[in-house]
Amino acid sequence: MENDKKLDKNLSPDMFKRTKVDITEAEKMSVESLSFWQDAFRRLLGNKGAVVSLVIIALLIIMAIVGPIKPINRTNYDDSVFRYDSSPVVLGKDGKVLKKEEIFFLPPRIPGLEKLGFFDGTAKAKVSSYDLIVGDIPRNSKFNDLRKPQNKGKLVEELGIPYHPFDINVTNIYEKDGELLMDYKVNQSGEEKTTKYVDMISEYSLYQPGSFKFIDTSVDEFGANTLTVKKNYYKMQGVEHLYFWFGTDKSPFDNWTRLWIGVRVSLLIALVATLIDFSIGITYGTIAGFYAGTWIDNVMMRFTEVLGSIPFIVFLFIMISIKPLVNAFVQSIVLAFGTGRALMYIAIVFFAIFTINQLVKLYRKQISKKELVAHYKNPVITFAVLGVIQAIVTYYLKSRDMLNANMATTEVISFLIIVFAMSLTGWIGVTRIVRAQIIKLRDLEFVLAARTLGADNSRIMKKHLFPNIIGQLVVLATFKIPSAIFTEAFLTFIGLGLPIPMASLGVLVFRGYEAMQVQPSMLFIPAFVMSILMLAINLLANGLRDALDPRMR
Amino acid sequence: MLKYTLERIALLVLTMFLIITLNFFLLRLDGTTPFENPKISPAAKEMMMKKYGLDKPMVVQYARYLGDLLKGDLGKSINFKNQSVSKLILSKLPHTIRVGLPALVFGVLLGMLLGALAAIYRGGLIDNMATIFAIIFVTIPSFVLAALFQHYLAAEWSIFPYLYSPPDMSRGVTYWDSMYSSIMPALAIGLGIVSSVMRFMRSELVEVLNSDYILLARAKGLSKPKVIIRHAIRNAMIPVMTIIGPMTLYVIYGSLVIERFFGVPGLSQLMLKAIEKHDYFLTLGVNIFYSFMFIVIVLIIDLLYGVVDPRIRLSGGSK
Repeated sequence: MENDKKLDKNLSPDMFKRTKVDITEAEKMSVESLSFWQDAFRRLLGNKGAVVSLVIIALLIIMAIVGPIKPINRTNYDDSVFRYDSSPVVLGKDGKVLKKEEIFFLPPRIPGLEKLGFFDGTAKAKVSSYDLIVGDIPRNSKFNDLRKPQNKGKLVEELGIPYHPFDINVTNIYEKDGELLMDYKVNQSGEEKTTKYVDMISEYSLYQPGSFKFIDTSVDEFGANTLTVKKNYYKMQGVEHLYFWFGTDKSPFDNWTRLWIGVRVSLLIALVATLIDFSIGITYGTIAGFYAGTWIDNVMMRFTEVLGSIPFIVFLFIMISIKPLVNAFVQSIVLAFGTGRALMYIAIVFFAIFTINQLVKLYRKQISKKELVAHYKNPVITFAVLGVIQAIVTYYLKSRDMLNANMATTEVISFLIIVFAMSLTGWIGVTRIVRAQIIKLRDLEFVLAARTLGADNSRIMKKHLFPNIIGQLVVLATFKIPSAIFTEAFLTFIGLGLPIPMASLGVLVFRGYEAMQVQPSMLFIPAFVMSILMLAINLLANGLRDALDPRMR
Repeated sequence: MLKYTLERIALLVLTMFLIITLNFFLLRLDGTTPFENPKISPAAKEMMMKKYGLDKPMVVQYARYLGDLLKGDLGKSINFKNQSVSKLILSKLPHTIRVGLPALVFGVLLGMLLGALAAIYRGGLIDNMATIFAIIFVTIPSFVLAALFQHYLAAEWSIFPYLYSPPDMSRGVTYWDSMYSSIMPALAIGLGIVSSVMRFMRSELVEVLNSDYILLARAKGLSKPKVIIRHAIRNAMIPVMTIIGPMTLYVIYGSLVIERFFGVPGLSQLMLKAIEKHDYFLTLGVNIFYSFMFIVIVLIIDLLYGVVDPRIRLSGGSK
């Protein structure tokens, strides 16, 4: 109260000025109005996890696009950049092309980082002392005979080394005064000796001085001597001037290129599969939900129930068993679309249905002739017309034999088979959710209002019901993508994956698993990228769910 | 309830019939026989076809197969020394169960425990740790986990054997050795289950703990542990039960890959071999067995909801 009085004293009427009152201003929003999506996006940006995942996903997508474009020093024999079915040319120090067989399983090596001690082209490996000392002797009649255990002495003589590896146990290999020395114990006499390393090994030894670093040695219960060494694969294979950032596999394909191609293919498979699932699921679910309670819904839902009760893997087993047939089926579809024939049929059917529908309406006097013409501006019709045009063009090209009938390549077919396998039962879940949502919505007042205003069923479905569930569908789709990536990998593991030279994250992880004991990075890098990608998309989906949920506002 | 049960069982029979029919005809679509080896002469092939009844028209074969099936006979394998398919399945099943069941039990129990702890100490250290744990194991696929385990636990540190070994007294593998070797595959499948169950349990329990009847129970004078055990966890368990069904399926799917990794001579190995060799009756038999298992599990869980929680209305069978 006291404060108020004080204020009163300080304030005098001449400090205020009366402004003009404009009633229309009262209705004006002082803040810019936000659409549903703008608001959702703003709230998404407030979620730290979602923003970070958005950035990671964006980075991975950018890498998937630009990563394989310019492989360093790795153009193919025919001057093209990476393709699935070709391996890169590797140039030796003297500029000559190296043979494919000479390079395999190179570990990651990145310039700059190699000085810090990782990604330096070396990897720990367990080596038998036989490999170390005798090495890879040629496979000819002379040496084949010498390889036999009873010819140990002769082999030693032939190779010019002092001991057979089975007669000694290596205890240490170290550098002293600029020379590489080897400590060993002679098994029979038990005496311990030190000799220059070069004198101990044959010319065929894979472990020439400088190509490895000794770490540890062990002798197992059977007396076999195993050494743990850090191999420098680049030096051993004579490609010290090269940098394969993520190494190579045994072919040798460049793992860096393959990784990003893999991300690209995996994302593409996931997107296409999700798209198919959702287009079928939404259409089916909307119709079923709209007619819920009638026989249409009953039949439709019984069908999904029966289909859904058959486990996914049983379908897979059937598909794998009759793989040639599935191949042929998908190929025929691809060919039909490739030559434009399928599109033409679809266009004609669309056109016919629409025309009949319009003519019926005209006959019943629901529309005038003028309206009939106006209706043909419908986008569906545009599509149909475009389809017809395309079909005519393709037909023209084909009749002049300008279109190769063998358009459907193996890559496209195997890609489609995976998508096909995933979508076979994938749409059922979407259908269930869409149906439940539509049932919830269809009795609400705005649908009644639309109906009162004369909207027909298809218009209500398209313009009123569907936009109301789109937010939820976006979230559902985002959650679906990581599971699709996972499923793709799963398919690879049980033998329905892409054929070998192609790459997807699943294929890479599988190949990496096979090579795990030789070169662990081949498993870890794609597995890491796959996990990060799945984690990021999951977190983004979580963020989207919160952002799109009106209750969370 | 009885009516509903009978209805569901009738639907089960109908679905099984459809699955059998679908499988029977789809698997034959490509027209190849199991005897496509160039070494097999046409006469021998004809004889073999006759022996397995493959020479008769499809419809006759189908009728005969259905008849045999009613007697519990799944036919005879072509590649596995003429053994009956049901016997083969039963001989492989224990290995799948020995890996899958511990994974499921371990996953669900540990998941519930961790979830309950996370919910009770919400916002605390345990909760944060559990959340991070869940995120990690939901995103790392089970086969990557399996590979990591094999690389580190088996190859590098040799804590566990690299491969699963079935119990075999003649080779000196005792039952316990076999159990020990099944730990790694079970873990690889189970950790994913732990995190899924945990997340679910946590969110359910948090919701229950915030409800009024918990407040009432506290106001009545019950101690906090008593309230949590008697009232909260019991009520949170009911929705958690719903996740056991999907998790069982997760185990079945997961075991497909994991069995291959660890060399478990289980059902999926049998299946992959059958497909590879075009062993028609074996493929059919295992497919039918898988479907049957799947449908029965879903049915049992649906019926159990009704028993556990009478509030859940089962009319219509919609989910």
